[in-house]
Amino acid sequence: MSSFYPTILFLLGFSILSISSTSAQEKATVEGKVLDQLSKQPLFNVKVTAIQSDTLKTATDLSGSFTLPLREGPATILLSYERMSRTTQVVIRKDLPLTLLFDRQKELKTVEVKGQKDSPFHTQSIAIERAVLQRIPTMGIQDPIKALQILPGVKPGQEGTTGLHVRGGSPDQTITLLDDARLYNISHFWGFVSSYNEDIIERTTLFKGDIPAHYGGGLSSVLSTKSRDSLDYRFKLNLNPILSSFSGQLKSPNEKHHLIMAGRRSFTDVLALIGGEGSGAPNFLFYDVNLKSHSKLSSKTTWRNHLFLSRDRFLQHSGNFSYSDHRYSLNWTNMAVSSQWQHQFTDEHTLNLKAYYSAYQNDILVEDLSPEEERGPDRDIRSNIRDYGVQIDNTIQTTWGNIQVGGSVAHQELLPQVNTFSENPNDSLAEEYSLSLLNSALYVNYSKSIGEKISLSAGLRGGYLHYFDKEENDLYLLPRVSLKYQVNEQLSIAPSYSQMVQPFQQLNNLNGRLPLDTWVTATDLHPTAKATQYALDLQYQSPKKWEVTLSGYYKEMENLLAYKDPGNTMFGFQENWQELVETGTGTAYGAEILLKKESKKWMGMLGYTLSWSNRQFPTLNNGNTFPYTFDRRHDLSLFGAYNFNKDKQISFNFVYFTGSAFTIQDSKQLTASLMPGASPLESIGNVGGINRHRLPAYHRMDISYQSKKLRQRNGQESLRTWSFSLYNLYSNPNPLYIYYYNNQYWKQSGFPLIPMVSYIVQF
Amino acid sequence: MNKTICLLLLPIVLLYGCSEPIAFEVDHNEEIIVNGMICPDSSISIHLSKSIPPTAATAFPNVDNAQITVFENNTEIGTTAYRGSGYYQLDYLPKVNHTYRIEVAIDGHPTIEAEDTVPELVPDFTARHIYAYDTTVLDNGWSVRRYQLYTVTFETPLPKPSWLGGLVHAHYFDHDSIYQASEKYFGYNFQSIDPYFDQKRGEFDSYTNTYGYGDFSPILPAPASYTYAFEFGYQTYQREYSGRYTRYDLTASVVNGSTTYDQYLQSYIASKKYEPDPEDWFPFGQSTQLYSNIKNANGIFAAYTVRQVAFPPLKDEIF
Repeated sequence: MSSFYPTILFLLGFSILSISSTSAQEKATVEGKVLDQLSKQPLFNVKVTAIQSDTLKTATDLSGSFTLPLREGPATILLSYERMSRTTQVVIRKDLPLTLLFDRQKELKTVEVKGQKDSPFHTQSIAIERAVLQRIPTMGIQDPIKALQILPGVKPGQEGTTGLHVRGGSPDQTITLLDDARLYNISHFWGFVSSYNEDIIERTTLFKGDIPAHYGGGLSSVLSTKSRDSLDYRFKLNLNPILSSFSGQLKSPNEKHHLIMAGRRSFTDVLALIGGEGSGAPNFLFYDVNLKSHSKLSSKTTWRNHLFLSRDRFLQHSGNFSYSDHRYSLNWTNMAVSSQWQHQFTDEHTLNLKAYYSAYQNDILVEDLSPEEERGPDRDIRSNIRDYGVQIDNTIQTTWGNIQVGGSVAHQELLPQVNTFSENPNDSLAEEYSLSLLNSALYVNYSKSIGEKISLSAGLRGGYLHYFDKEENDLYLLPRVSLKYQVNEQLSIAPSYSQMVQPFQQLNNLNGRLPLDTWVTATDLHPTAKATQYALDLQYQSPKKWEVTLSGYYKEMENLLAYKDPGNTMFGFQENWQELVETGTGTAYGAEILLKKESKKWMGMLGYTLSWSNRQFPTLNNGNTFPYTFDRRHDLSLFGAYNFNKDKQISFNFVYFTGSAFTIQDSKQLTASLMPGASPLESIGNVGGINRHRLPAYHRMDISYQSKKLRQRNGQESLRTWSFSLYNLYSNPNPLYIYYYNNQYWKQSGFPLIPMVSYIVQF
Repeated sequence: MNKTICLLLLPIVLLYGCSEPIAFEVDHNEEIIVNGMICPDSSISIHLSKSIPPTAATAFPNVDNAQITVFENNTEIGTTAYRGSGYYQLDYLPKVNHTYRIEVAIDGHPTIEAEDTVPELVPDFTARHIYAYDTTVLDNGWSVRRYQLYTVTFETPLPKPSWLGGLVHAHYFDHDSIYQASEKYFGYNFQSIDPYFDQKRGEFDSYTNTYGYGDFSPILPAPASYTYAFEFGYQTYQREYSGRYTRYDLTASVVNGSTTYDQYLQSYIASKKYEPDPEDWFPFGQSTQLYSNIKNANGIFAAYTVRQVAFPPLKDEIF
């Protein structure tokens, strides 16, 4: 079984490689790429108009790429992006790609013609640009994570959450990075919205297949978010009854230094106060802050710094569900600080030096508010994670290929759910239970175009994991290879192979309902988790501007952790935690199809995934394989956007997927007396198998309308945007879970219809 | 407390959603359930019944048309007689270190099989009651939680991990006449910090710095003569029984189970611990699966030996 699917995938891949290409064209097909002048990030949906003897138009895709059939010789290129247009003159040479740098502040001033196709490609990645993000209706708050969740192969665990289940993996198997600093919880309000402020995001990329050797640490995928270097406005205010935000920018007179400030705050705590603190209504507050500086120290040197802080606080009195008087507060705090120094030694060699600190803390505090004579101790259950790291990356372009080489060292410290009481504060427990790791790695990635049709990207990541609580440390070497064969102008095929390791995992019970932050490192008893993934992409681009991507994947995972007792939650870390869990294996495989079509007014996307994800542990389910909780057989998403004109747009998305697998008592039986003298037989519930049942299928539709208006007052322009959205348009009561209570089954539904309105002013 | 914290998490999960009863059809497969716990102290008794859906209010159907053949070390020793109410019995006492196999023939059903080996009896031990103390008065004086410290001492070390369980027989006297009697296992108010209780199977309470255990508490072999100490707490209702006498009789049982017995007992404890309680709304609970060693059916056929010693009677208590 383990070698069957990879063999099929690769046989299929290489058999298609033998298909001959179509005949030569009259015009040369010129490939180009549009990058942001400052960030060097690809720009999506830039309208490209090439003027020669005739005029040809196209637009860039998610990787910033475009192709146009042009004749050799001079041409005028007009680029239109958001509300800006830039023109430049270029000389078209057959088979030499164009790289166009789009300066948002000034004219398009640089046009580079490279002798090689220079960018390493990653066919199994999805990038969400701001331009796309603004078109996807997600509860009125533009959220890259929610946007990713409607794409094939990527799903939320439960409705409304921001956890990413990528190709059958659990959320902890996705590494989330913000400017290369790791974040451990990217959710506000338990997943209602992610902690990413859309105003500061340049681009979010999810690598779900051929993960570049640059990245490591997660079995399933890497979610890398890059922040913007500058804003194209001075100040923006978004008024929304749930979550309001602002962002603004300061820049030096010579425009070499930019400081971006952005913040968001919820008003749910204000709404709760209306009911009064004693009403028992929950009081929730969340906010996040971003400070980003970007300095152009010289024409070759750039320095970027980013501070990110995100915090959630939830308060509730126990009155509704307990006879005692307790106040519960739950707090989540995420902080990441990163600094990046970039120097371009030559046109071909760029060096990036990065340092970061990342901290995540989760506190559950229970305070006894009883009169002093009856008061019991306060209880604090605390988890935190701290990362310190440095990283070096070199990008070298040569005539024989492009090389990325670098390394990283990080110290990671986990404190999983330490339980202390005010009468007996025992901070030494924190030291006793902390699990630490020194995680160092070196990588090299090589990419090259071989002839006209083949591109290769090969990477190797080697590392040393020094666990402070493990006698044997791990040395690993992870190969990653992807190949792209351009069968003809429309069709390409790309097989890939990658290996990943994950030094620490998040423990959760199998029903996945209780989002507790118990992270543990590998130990001698539970070794480092590993995964191998084989994938194959077929991409077809029609001359009529529609595109189909068909992907297949097969993934094997080892040393996954699960509680031996599926109902365990381990409140308060236990010294014997290693005895409470066991290691097992997982497999995930499936096929994804993504159909995209874009025209002047329309943009549409249809995604479908057929997938399986299974787990096997020594004792769980009597050792038999069982479906992973978020195993989704069918997963369909449809997205469409229509521009009435340049200022008014309507968009919708529809999602449907198979319900989650879950375990519930499905029989009652008699059980024997376990000891003499006890009652002879008693009734006991039993389950026929773990995750044997399914929730009803999930489906909903969202719709959003956006209207922009440019105003001029006293010679000053301002852009005002009204946004209206309806989440779960037909208010389908989608199930979160089913439980048994009072002799009948109950269904807990997710969000009903939620209307949302926001007003955005931008100067 | 943990449960309360779980419930605290609910408002977030449920903030905008709603909960409603549904007609959910569980995929129930009716199975024959075999229950046979054999030990050298009693004749071989097997109970056959059928499983029912979890919401069914009906009684468990007994299987009364089976023929059960019993083998000892692969030699047939007889066929059970049907005693009614699903019980089949063979008047034969199992022997230590012998392997017993049953074959159950039922019309229209594949032959059901299971086997297990009877383990050794644990060494003799003594049981003592050390002291009692009262803890916090709860519920505005309505009850008192009273803890007793008990020990069991093995002069010869246990050969392998075993299970300590026991029965509590409570007598309440009203004006010198018996008022009420009740019987139960040691419950979840059983706790210990003794390192030779298998702490990895206990639930650590940081507040009391002790491990809590269920009805059957796992004890480990000590290197030499050893006294296992544990506390057993129970709640008395001060006002309700004011002026009455209460007496508790306790019996300690140390069970040496076969591997099959151990696996079943562990799954039984987990199942009881996480079983959804129809009277107590707790949607985070998750049922767990009972271990079974029965081929072509469900249930358990396991062997054990048990040594039981009564604790010396406690003095009568008055409130």
